[in-house]
Formats: sequence, structure tokens, C-alpha cells
Amino acid sequence: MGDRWDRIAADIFMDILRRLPPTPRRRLRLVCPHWRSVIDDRTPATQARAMVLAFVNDGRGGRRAHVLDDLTKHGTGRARELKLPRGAGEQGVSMAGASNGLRRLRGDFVVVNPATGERLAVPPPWESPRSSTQLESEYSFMYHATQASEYSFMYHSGTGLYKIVHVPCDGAVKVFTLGDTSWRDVPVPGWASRVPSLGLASVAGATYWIAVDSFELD
Amino acid sequence: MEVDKGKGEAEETRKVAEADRDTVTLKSSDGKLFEVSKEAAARLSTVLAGMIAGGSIDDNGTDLKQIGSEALENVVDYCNKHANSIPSAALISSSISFNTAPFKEPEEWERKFVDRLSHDALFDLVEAANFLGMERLLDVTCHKISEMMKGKSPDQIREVFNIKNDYTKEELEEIRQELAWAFYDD
Repeated sequence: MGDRWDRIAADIFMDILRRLPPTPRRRLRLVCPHWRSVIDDRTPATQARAMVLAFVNDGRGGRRAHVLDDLTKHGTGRARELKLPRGAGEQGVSMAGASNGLRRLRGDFVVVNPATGERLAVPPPWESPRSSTQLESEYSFMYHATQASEYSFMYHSGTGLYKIVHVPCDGAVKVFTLGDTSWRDVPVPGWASRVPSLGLASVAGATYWIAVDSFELD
Repeated sequence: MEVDKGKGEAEETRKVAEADRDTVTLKSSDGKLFEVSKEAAARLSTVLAGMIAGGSIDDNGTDLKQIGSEALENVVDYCNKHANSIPSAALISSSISFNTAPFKEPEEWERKFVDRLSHDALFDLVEAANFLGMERLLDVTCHKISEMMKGKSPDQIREVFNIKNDYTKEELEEIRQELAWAFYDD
């Protein structure tokens, strides 16, 4: 029975695997070495090349966004300014880092793709319905840099999915995957001792933060 | 004499009938014969379409040495069901939607058709469909196999498909570590 898969042509096997969502497909690399090599070599990995996106204050309270196209050793180091949608560059909008360079998180939870002008509304991460005044104050908190630093926007190259990671000062770490309708709790060790002022960084699909090592303190 | 003459006439009518009959006869690797609608065979299989157009169809049974009788029976069954159950207009519209969706969803009867197959029969049918260039049947069978994988852990997959786990413990641990560094949806 096991030799069934050996008889199936590689193209067909690939066709079957391509019908699975990227995340479970990655996990199927655990089945056996043959499957791993087919999944690694033959199924689509993301083609997106990460570019660096930099936000700068323009000195008049607004924001500007620049994309650094080519940071290779022999690159020209050229940067071009992204045309931000109306209102996005105005004061009060906080930006969370985007790792493929083209999307960002606005203060009021709208993800905008400046290249295409597409917008995607994202529900807030808290579960219980709050009063509108509470909600308003939560939103306004988002405008502060310290609050914005609780959020990280990332592109996970293993799955081709975009995710927003929310690491609050208190409460659970939550992840929102673009395309989903709700946030998901993620059990993470060490979040309680995170140092909020040091912010978040997302590198190659993993989000990092700095925490106080409580064992050393004891 | 009477008998011989009668037989000759019968032979004659049979030949005439075969020349413009609307079925083709296929022969499996183990020598069994199957009749299939010529129109459906030509429409669903690029290989059979080529053989029909090129005149290489043998009226006494076209040899398909790579396909066993059980798989060939399923192929023929599928072709005949397809010929009967899908109006050509529906077929045209589904082939248009193929351009927008990555994979066509199987029809209800196609689902039932593959659901009743054993694992071995299903895999044999995949091979036969591949050999005969039957894109639609490949789509339906591959869809079925991918459905069998969905929502299953690597352990369960190995069990369902009877795959030997020839990873070492260390290798498995290494891959798990790789996967653990990213957020994954369960």
C-alpha cells in the first residue's frame, strides 16, 4: 500500500499537495523524507521579495513612507516615496512595520495597500463588546506611539499569509491573519515580562520582543 | 450452406455497424473489453481523442496495456456517466470558470463516484486518468485524495495512506523546531 505514492507521478503528487492550504502543507513535511522533498522543491513557496519600508516624520506632524528597493551590496541604494492614500499621511496615524513593504496598519485598524489602493478593515483584538466611549478611548490610545508599538504587521513567508500580532502590556498575545474574521489567542511564554517601550520586531515571519528575565531578578 | 450464408451476412452488417457506431471498445491489460461512448471518450481524454482522430482505434478492442480491468471499468463508467449526466452547456460554463478558480469543484455525482472507491482503486484511477490525459477525472480524483489529507496530523496521514515513517527521531525534532518558530493555525 505504501508504494502507492511511489507510483503516482511527481506532477500528480504536486497537484494533490497544491490543493492543500500552505500551512497544513508545510506540516506534512513531517510525514516522511520523500514528502518533505516534494513539498520543499515542488510546491509554490512565496515569490515575494521583502523590501524595506521606512516611515519618517516630515517635521510638520505628517508622515512619509519610503521604499528602499535595493539594499544589496552593489545596489544603488535608491529610495522612492510611496504615495499614501488621502488622510493616511496625516498626523495621528500610527504605522506598524510591514515586512514586504507595501502594507501597513493604520491607527484605526485599516490595512492599506498603497500600491493598489486596496483597504481592508480589521476588527479590534479585544473580545468583549465595549461601550463606544471605551472603544473610542482605545482607538485614541492607538494614536500614541507606545500603543502602536504593541502591534506588529508581518508577512509570513512560509505560508504567504499576512498577520498582525498584538502584544499588549497586559493580556494575551493575539494574532490576526488577514483573510480571517477574528483574532486568535496565542500562548506565549514570557509576554508578561515584556518591556513595552522597546517595541516589537518582526523578522522573517517571527515576532520578537524584549522581556525581563525574571529568573535573574530573583 | 444456409447457415454459412447467414453468418456471412451477419458479419457484413456487423462491420457496417462498427464503421459508424458511436462507441469504442477498450481492452484492459488483463484482456477484458469495455465499451465507451465515442463522443465522451474523445471529449474527456486527450489520448483517446488522438487515437480516434488518427484512426488507431481497434474495433476488436484497443489495447490499453497500462490499465488494469478495475481501473478501466471505472474510467469507462466515468465517461458514460459524464456523457449522460452533464448537459453540454453546463460543461462549457464550468470550463470557463476554471480560468478564474485554481481548481474546479467536483460535481455532486463525481463526488459520489470517487467516494465509493477503495484507496487502491482511487490511486489506480489517478494513474489511468493521467495515462489517458483525462484532465477532468484527474481533477476529481486528486481533489478526493487532498480531501483525505485535510485536517489530519502527519501521524494520521501515515496511518491513512500506510506510509512508513523513515525519519530518525533527530530529524523529526529538527523539522518540528523549524515549524515551531512561526505562528501556525490549527
